[in-house]
Amino acid sequence: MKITVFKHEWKIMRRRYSTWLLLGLLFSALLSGWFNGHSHAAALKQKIERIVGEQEEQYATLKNSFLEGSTEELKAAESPGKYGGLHSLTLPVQPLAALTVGQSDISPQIIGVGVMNKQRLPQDRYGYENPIHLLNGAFDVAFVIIVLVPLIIIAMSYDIIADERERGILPLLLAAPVSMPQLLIGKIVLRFILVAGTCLLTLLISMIFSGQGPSISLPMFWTWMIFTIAYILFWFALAAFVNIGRSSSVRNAIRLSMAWLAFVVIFPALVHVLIEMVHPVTPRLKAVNAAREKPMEYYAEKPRLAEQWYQRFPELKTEAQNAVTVKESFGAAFWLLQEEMDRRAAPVDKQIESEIARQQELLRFLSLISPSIALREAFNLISGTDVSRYQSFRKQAELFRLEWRKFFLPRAIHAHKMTPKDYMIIPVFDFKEAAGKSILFQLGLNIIGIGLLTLLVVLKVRHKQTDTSNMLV
Amino acid sequence: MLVRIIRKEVTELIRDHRLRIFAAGIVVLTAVALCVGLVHHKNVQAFRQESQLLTRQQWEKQPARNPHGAAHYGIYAIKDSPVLSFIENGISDFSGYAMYLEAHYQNPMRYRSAEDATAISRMGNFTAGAMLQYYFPLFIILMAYPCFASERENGTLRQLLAHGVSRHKLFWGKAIAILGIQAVLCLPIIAISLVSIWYLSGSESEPILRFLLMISGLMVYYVATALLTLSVSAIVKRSATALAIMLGFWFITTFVAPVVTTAIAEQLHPVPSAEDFALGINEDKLKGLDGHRAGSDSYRAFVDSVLQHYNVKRTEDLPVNIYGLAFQKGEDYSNTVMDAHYDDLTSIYEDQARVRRSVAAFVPFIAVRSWLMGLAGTDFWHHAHFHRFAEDYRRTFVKILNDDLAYYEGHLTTKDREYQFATDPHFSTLYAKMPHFQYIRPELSEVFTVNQSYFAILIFWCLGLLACCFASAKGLKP
Repeated sequence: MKITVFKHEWKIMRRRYSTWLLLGLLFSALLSGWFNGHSHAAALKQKIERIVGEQEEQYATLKNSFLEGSTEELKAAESPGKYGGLHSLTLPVQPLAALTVGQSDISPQIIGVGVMNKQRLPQDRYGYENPIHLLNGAFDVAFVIIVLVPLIIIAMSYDIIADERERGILPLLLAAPVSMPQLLIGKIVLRFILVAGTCLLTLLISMIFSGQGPSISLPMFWTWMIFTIAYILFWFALAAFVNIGRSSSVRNAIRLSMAWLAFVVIFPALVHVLIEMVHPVTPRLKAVNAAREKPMEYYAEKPRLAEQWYQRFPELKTEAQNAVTVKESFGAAFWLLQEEMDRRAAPVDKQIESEIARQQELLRFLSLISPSIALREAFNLISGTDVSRYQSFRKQAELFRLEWRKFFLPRAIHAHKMTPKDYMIIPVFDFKEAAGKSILFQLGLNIIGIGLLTLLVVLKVRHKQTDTSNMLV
Repeated sequence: MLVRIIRKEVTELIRDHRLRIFAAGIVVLTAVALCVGLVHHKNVQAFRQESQLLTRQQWEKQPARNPHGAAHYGIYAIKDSPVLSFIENGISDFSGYAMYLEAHYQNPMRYRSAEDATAISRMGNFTAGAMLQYYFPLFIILMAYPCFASERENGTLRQLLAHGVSRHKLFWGKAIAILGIQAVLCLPIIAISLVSIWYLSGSESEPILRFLLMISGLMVYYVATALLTLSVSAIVKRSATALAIMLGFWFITTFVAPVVTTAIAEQLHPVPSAEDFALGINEDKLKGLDGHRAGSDSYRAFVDSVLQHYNVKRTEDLPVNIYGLAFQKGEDYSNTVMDAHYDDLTSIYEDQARVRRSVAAFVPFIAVRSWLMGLAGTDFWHHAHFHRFAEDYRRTFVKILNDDLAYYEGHLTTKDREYQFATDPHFSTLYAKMPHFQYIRPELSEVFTVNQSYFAILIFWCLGLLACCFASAKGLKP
């Protein structure tokens, strides 16, 4: 690259109002994207903190009233399980969630656990988000980078060579001691620095001013930036590739717009349809249908259900209960029934889980055809708002629910009183993030996808550049 | 003269092989999208109908039990997939389709399929509706942007005008040529759609009418796009500028404006979180009578009033079952609580819709999109209509069961746990006699009234642009 080309180009560009207009647009879009995503993530975080706080308070009250010799009701093992969603499991909000709303607007961040069956869990009463807003998607930094940045790149660079040629300046330029590749690269590199620099600076400024600075892990932030830069590079490489031909600036603009349409809109839509066709996901209602099959009457079914329960967990059966003499209460019958309903739904749930996993696998493979798909996946992963993390949360919550039930149900059906010791050993949920390795592996796959595409385009450009003799016309 | 201009323009457009490829591409893709949509709709609809039958069967197969227990077992109301959803899927993936109808609580619609989909389902939809809204207008822009600008660049415009060609005829000739080609492209799509609608809904005329209204909205939008592009082409000097302006307009109105509008609406009128919403309802419900809390003051007061009414001292002496009465009394109270909370929520949604509508006045894309979703029956209004209908059914459903508990003499003598031994045929008739859930779709006239503002916006744009075109045709400079 010749530094003179770079300097001259900068002189021209900084006098053009369109440069500042485009950069200003990028700046304000990023800023408002940040503001919007940040307020979404902050609300989510606040909600989780409040719920966790309330829950701890509730437990403290239970424990204290127990120690102070409380009412019988509180001592009964039924109590903690009585309120279907007494125990709320929460998925922590990741520091970079403000950058990508991802799936966090539609997937539950809080899952209630209790002894009730699944159609009665609190998360089934969720879903008040305006569906039109979910359809349109969130205006966050990820959206700005994936959708808007390429448009700004196209607007800045569709005519870098064609314009010179159309005005008849190109022969003059090439008469100077500068080659065509030098000219092209100089122009592209300057624009790349402007766009990437604006992105980096805006994000840094917004993070620092919103007080998010200290909480953000630097490696994650730089991973985010590396992906962004790779994506910006891809679009500039594409612009260079289009510019190197002999076509007019109008044709370049159309070609680049078509490329944008293909990569950002059409490919994702087609990939989505393809995935849905190859691995359709069973509707969740099917699990409910299965659970409600053969409606049962609590009392009539109780002995059989109790028998079944102790066959599954013989270790929970004590000497005294060998005869399966469970307490003749409404609760015992009702809760055993809840357990039975969930057991019926379990195969469908498992099937859905594996179908989603297969979809994700296929998507990871297909994301190689469009950098915007790969980037969206990567952004969601880095921000912790990706499908896999929510699926993992669901799965862990489900396992915890079984543990919770295993703890309370035997105590409840025998109407055991809770002891202080019991309160100490109530199961505690701790969300385990996917191992760092697997996330890195996924990110790696995606970045290789983007990198390969960019490389392919650049190689093609260099190949074409060797023949510039007829470019002056 | 006009015919000649049209013929020349059409020939020129048809000869452009890039336009031919693009046109073939969008028509083929739209046809494929129609087929994909059709298969998807058939699968979805089959599952939902099957589930609707199943939930009813499960309901009727219940053992004899306390009718209030049966109300807790509940039933599901399942929304049919609208016929036209195979063209415009709208919010279908983001709104639930099943409502659990149970005692005491108005549930939201559940099971949004986007929850279990990949993240790219958020990046755009491959439906015929999307093709018709996104790419067909783009095709108009690609046809129309060079119309005057490139004639001006080539110097042919000067010659044409020197020959005494009327500026207006030149303008309208080009417009007619472009719209004619567009109409021809739409014909196979319209034909396939009509055949599919006929295949799906048989002799019913409403879906066809809805479809024709959808198409007329689209046509108005296409006319507006063509007129806008031609005016821009007539005003600016270079075709590159015309293209840049129109592509920019298309990108921003189609891809950016809806997202930004959403963000503004959400910031101005945030919807409460599900937890807060449920918390508010539960707090308010605690303030009144709950049939399950026999120890509460309000419950005791209610029992006293009933005793007084029947002029007896003990509940055992009542000619009615006090639990049934109390459950219904509690239900009536919780219904008012539900109504208050859901009304608040609805007013937030309406405020958000108002924001979107006011933006739509400036962004015709949002207007045409809302119009299409509205008529396809896949918009929020239809979703809310179903939810309200199912809730009304739930209230009748629960009331029938509570009244049975209160007034059927068998319940006066039976203790709760003895129901299992009941051979009383009363129960099977009670379950079988429960009215079937049969959703009555809103009238087309009502749908039209709700969405007419979007159509009006499109018409206004068209009229405004017509005036604009007259002015720019008159002032056409070589």
